[in-house]
Amino acid sequence: MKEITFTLNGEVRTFRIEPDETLIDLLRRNQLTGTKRGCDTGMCGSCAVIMDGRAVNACILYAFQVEGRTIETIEGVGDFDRPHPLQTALADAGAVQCGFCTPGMVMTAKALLDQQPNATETEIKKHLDGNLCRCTGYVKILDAVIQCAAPGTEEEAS
Amino acid sequence: MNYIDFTIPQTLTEARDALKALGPEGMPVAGSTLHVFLRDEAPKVAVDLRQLGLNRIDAEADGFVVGATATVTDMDEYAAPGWVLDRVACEFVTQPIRNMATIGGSIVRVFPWSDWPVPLLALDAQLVITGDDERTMGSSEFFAVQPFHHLHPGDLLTAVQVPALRTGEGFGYFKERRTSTDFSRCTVAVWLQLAQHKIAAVRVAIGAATPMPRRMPAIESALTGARPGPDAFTQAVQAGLDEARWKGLHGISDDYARHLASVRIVDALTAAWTEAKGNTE
Repeated sequence: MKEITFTLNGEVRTFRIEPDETLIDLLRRNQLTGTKRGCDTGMCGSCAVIMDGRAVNACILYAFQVEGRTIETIEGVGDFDRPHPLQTALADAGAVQCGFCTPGMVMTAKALLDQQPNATETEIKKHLDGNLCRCTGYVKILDAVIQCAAPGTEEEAS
Repeated sequence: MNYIDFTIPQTLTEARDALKALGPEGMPVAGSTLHVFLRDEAPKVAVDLRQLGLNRIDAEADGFVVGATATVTDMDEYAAPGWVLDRVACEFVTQPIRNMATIGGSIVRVFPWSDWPVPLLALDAQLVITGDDERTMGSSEFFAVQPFHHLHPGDLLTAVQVPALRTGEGFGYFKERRTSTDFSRCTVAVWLQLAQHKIAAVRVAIGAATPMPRRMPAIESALTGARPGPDAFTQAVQAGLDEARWKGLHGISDDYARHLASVRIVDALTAAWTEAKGNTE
C-alpha cells in the first residue's frame, strides 16, 4: 500500500491505498457512503464528486489520481440540518423518489453553478447529461436546478 | 485495469525514464476513462502524466497546439478564431467524462467508435511524439495502425497540432448517437477550402460506420476542383462509398451503416461548404 494526501471536504487527509483502488472504493470504505456506486463504468453519474471544481465520476477515477487535489463529496455539501440550496430545491420540487441518483445530481449541478451561477437551461441540461435517473423523468430535477441558477440569464430574458 | 503500483512523475523526463524502465509493464495514465475498456489487460504499473504541464492549449501562427493531457472540457471551453474542436468536444459523452478524458488518451488507442480521430484526420492534424528525439507524424500515418504501436518504450504522445480554420475554409462535423452516453454509430468530419467558387481542397473522414476511422480519398478526389452543391456532393459520395468496408455497430446492419454514412457525409460537406462561403475576409 502507498500513501496519498489530498483535500477532502475542506480537510487535508492522508490515506493508505491499493494501486488499483478507485476513488469510490476509498470514499466508501472511509464511511463516506453518500457517493453511490451505480454502473461502475462512468456512465450513470451516481458516483459524481467534484475534483478541483469539476464533476468527475469516482467509479473510474483511481484513488492515486487525487494526490494533491481537492475533492468534495456530498457529505461536504450539506446535511439534514443544513441542506445546500440545491438539496432543498430538489426536495421541494418533488425531484427525489428513490434518491439513489440524487447525490450525483447535486454534485454535478453544484460544480456547474459554482462556476456559472447564472447558467442557462441549455447549459444545465448539457452538464447533467451524464446523470441518469430511473424514477423522475428529469423534469422536476431540471426545474429544481434551474430554480437555483441566478435569474437574469439570456434564455429567461428572451 | 489491474494496477500493481503507481508513480506520479513531476517532469516529462521523469515520466519517460519511468516508462522506459518499466517497458511493457508501464501504462501512461491521465483521464483514466479508457480503462473501462481495458479491464482484462495484464497487471501494469501506472505512470500518471497529469503533473507534467501538458494540459495547455496554445494559439500559434499556423494553428493550435493542444497538450496531450488537455481535457475534452478544456477543448470545449477554449475559444479563438479558427478553433473548431469545441464543436467536437461538446458532443463527447457526458460532462463528467468530458472533465476527465484527455485528447491524448482518446487517440493513442483507437476504437471503431472513437470520436477524435475523425476530426483530426479531416483537419490534417499533426501528432507530436516525444522520445529520445521529438518527431511529428501526420494524422493519416498516425491512425493508419493502432496508434500506440508508433510508441517505443519511453515515447509519449505530448501534443496535437491542429490547423486553424482560415478564410475560405469550412468544417462540418456530425456524430450520430441516440443518447449522450451512447457510442457513435457514424461520425463524419469534413474540411473544405473554396477558391473561385470551386472546391480547391477537401478532406473527408469517417468513423464508427467503418471498422476503424479513415479518410475517403475517392470522394475527396471527385470533389476537388468541382463546383460545390447538393448534386455534386451526392454524386461524389455515392460513387465513392465502395472504397470503404462498412461495419454497423451496436445492432445496426452494415447496409444501414453505409446508408447513414452516405447521408451524413453529404450533411457534413454541406455544413463545411456553408461555413466556407461565409468565412470571408
